[in-house]
This record gives sequence, C-alpha cells and structure tokens, in this order.
Amino acid sequence: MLFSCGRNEKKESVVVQSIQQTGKLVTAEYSLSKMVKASDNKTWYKIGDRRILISAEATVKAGIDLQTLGEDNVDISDEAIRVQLPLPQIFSVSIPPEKIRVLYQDVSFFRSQFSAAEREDLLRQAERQVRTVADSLGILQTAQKNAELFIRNLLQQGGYQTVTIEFKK
Amino acid sequence: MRWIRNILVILLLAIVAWWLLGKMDILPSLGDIFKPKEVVIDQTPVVIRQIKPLAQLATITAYTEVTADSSVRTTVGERLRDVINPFSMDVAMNRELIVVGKVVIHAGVDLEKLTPQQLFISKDSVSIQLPAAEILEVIVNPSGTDIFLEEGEWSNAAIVNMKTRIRQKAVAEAQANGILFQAEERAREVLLNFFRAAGFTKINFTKKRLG
Repeated sequence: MLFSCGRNEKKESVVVQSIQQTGKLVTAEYSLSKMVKASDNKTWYKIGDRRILISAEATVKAGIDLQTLGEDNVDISDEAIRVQLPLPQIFSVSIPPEKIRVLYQDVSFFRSQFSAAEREDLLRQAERQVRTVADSLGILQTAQKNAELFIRNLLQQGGYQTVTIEFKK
Repeated sequence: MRWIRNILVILLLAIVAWWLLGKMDILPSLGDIFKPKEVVIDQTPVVIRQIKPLAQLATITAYTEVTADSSVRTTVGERLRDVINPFSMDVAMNRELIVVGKVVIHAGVDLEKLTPQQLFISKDSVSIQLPAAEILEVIVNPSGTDIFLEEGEWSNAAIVNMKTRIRQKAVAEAQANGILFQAEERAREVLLNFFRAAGFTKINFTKKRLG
C-alpha cells in the first residue's frame, strides 16, 4: 500500500453560460501590484498562529462603450464635427493566476498550512480591495484622454478639419 | 438525590435560556463560539506598475464555467506521515482537487494594429481592412474560482497550473464555438455604425481574415 505507483488523472468539463455582444473601445490598461498579508490568530481555541504573505498582480482595463454612440451624438457641419462620447468606465479587473506568488508562510507546530481554498479566500478579499480603489487610481481619466485622442485622429484622418470631442455628463 | 435533580433542572434551564437568547441574537449561539474567525487581509496599498494606452475593440464576451480535477497518488512520505499521525484515521492513497472556474473571455479586434494602409478615407467613403479578430483577454479571477474539493495539500503552483488548464479549456471551447468569427462580424457592425454616425455614407470592409 505504501509503495504503489504515482499516477495523475486529469479531466475537465466546460459549460458555456452565455455569449454577449458588446462594442467596448478599451483605451487604457493599468498593471497593478498588491501584497496580500494575513494573520490567522483570532480563533480562541486554536493553538498557535499562521501568517501568510502573497504577492499578486492585477490588470484593470477601461474605455468607452461605442455601442451607445449614435447619430444623435454626432453633429456635422461642413468640415467640422462634434462628437459626444459616453463617459469612460472600467471594463475589467483581472488577477492572472500566474501572477500570484506565495512569498512567505509561517505556520505554528499545531496548525496546518493554508489550504488552497483559504488562499483563494484571501485573494478574493484582495480582488475586492483592488476593485474598490481602481476608480481612484486615475484610470478613467487616462481612458478618457486616450479615447479622445483615438477618435480625434480617426476623424481627422477622415478629413474633418475641426474635431470637437465631448463626454456625456 | 434532590440536589442532583435541582442541578440538572438549573443546567437545563440555563441551556434553554442560552439557546433562546442566542436565537434572539442577544448571546452568541454555541455554534458561533466554536466557529473559526474569518482571516481578514490587511489593507495594503495598490501600486501602479505600468500604464498602457490601448485601442482594442472588444466585441464579444463569453462567460464559461469549467470544472477541472486532478488526482495525484500520494508519495511514500505522505503515507508514512498518515501512518504515524495519531489523529489520522486512514492512509490517503490519493490527493484530490476539484476546481470550478468561471472564465470571462473578451474577443475583438486590436485597432492599434490598424496601419494607415489598412484604413483609407476619402470624402464620404471609408475603406477598412480590419486586423484579424483575436482573444483580447481571458479572466479567471479568485472571485470566480471555487475550490470544490481539496484533499491533501495543494501548493500554489498546483492551483496556478489548474487555473491555466481551466483557461485554456475555456478558450478552446470558445474558439470551437466560433468566437473569433462572431467578434469580427460584430466589430464590423460597431465600426459601420460609428462611421455612419460620423457622416460617412460608403463604408467598405475589405479582405476578411481570421486569426
């Protein structure tokens, strides 16, 4: 029983839940890093502590939703065009698995290592923190500036001498 | 004997009172006393490492759920540990892991790859050769990951490996369902509407390429 051969069994099942049509012009990407620090020493009946330090990187993408742009948002007169773009929004927050590294673990004798489920729970908290602060990092302003530049260049290339870009309030 | 009965009655009344007060959220329930405290992470700063301008037109988002499992024979060392561990009731022959991952796939065209030769605009007409549609982003976040079954110790590297498999499987499935074709079709639609709104009447998409 102790010396039987090792063997890996792997299988997957996939369920495609939904497919959604969009029209998002993604104009800014922020790469972020975050240290995830936690101490497990609050449960009164558990003897000994556990501490963990994880480094994670996140990618936040923002831009404008081009789907909502219609003829009502465009005003053309001769060689001048005025476009009213939708306000930028954050489209995605991603924490790629390969950018997650456990840097340090300190586990007392009477305690077990942090399980995968426990580590995932800590990372979920980190993800929530990233989502909460994402707005305050200035990504929406960057996305707006880049969207304006992209659309302006495109329309100037199209022959418009005067291009005015506004964002819906 | 009477004093024993009195003690039992008092004890019983105390338990009932504790239970009732626990139900009314006045006292913690017995279950709560032995419930492990949630491990809360510290508030640490989020550091910006890089800011990158993009011009990606994301036109299709696919939501997929992938279940992946892994079963690994335990090593001799792990079995010996079970044998000498007084709290272990049996010797585990396998370590099992089942992960359910929610995967979000964004597909579309990268307009940064649009060269001046691929976009020709003259008066009221636009001729555009779209870059091939591609998978722009595949997201498997911790919030979408459920460790459904975990027997034995699984390292972070093993979880990363599992999530990578989940991601690859989701992408393969999405591609098999024609996500790139749909993304390119939708990109044409979005750009057609944009150029029409911008006053162009003749919009022509040349050569169709799929990645």
